[in-house]
Amino acid sequence: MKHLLKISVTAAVLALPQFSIAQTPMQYGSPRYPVIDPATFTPEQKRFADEMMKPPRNGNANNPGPFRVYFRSPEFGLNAIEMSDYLRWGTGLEDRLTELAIIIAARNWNSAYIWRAHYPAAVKGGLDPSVGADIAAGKRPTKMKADEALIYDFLTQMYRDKEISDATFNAMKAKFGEKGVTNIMGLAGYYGITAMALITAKQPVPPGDEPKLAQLTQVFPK
Amino acid sequence: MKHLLKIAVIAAAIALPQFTVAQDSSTMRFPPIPMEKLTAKQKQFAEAQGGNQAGGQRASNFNQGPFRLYLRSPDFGLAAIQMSDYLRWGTGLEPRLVEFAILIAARNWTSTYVWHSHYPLAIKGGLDPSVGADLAAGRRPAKMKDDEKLVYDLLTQIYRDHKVTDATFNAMQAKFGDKGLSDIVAIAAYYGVTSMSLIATDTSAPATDEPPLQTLAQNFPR
Repeated sequence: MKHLLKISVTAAVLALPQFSIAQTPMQYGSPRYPVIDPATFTPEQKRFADEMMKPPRNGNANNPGPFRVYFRSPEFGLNAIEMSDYLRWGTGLEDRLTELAIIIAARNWNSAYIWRAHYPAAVKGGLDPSVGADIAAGKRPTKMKADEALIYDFLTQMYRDKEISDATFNAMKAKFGEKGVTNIMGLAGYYGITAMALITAKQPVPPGDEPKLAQLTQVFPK
Repeated sequence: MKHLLKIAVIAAAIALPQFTVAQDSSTMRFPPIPMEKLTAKQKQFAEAQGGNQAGGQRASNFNQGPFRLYLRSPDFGLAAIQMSDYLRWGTGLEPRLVEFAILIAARNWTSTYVWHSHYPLAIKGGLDPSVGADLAAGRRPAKMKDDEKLVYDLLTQIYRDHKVTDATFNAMQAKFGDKGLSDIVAIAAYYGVTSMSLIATDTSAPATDEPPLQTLAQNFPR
């Protein structure tokens, strides 16, 4: 019965419109950041717009989400998407783990927008749906694979304690190597930048059926 | 206790203004790597890190501070320092405000290393010393200039409330323009990445002349 329930939850989640941040429908653009007419782009804005269009992002400078905030400082915006592109698609880390790091960052920042965009991607990558549901509810997930539990411990200690235990650090390094540890930190860190931009923009969140982030005073239990 | 011991070791080893952390390399989480042992990409990173970009000059080398972690994923590291260079020296914002944004980020993350490195730069830029002292102690600074108040309100609302009021957003936009507003958010946000890197490398710096950054239950009062 539980297995059937899990299948139906997964099916419901995967049926959600699978749009990435770069493809959020324009109707969800933030009123604080109106669309800018491409005819008025400065040369720096044009460079940013061109970068946004490249695969796999296939985006647009006026896309809702953090991009409109980045776009107002296009030199920063170019740096941001270069960092993002590498961390999301260039590290060799499995999607399941990349997206887990991102949704943990989303939980830290209470970012419903990042959560909405990346929870389905995490499930698609193979994360058990209950893991995200537990994180949303402020509970330690019970169904993590060993590598997921490492990333969870590493990032939650980072956010909650501002300190990583020796046991967690050593296990992270053994599993992912120094480069992997750096990239996982970088992913979560980059999504902190995204979260701060989204907060500034007061970015609306498209509707979805994913488990919602609970309002919590303690997002990561001890 | 172990944490205090680590701080004591670092304190014994620090020689201002260099942040030479002369811990036993074998116990460091990410020991320094000599230039001759770097991969080609790491060399590229090391050279970029040491270069004089955007008119600024970093106080630390590629084996110090957050750079010691960035070195482990040099593609990420290159993106990070490009972002850092622009935000620190390329925005056109006064150093007083750039450094104030950085100190607020340091307070959010209780990053003693960032605080120790940037407090003197903030003072040099013209921030009233009492502003840093109040910030360190978790008080709303009493002696902020008008533009500093706006930056303080913006960033503390993002950190504490995950929301920016319309009043603050509009005032920031009116004072700094869209680009300045994006740049200020970006500066603080990038120092989140820095702070997380320093947590991952277990790097702290005890206060010397500057007001110390204690761990607080609430960093930013209502």
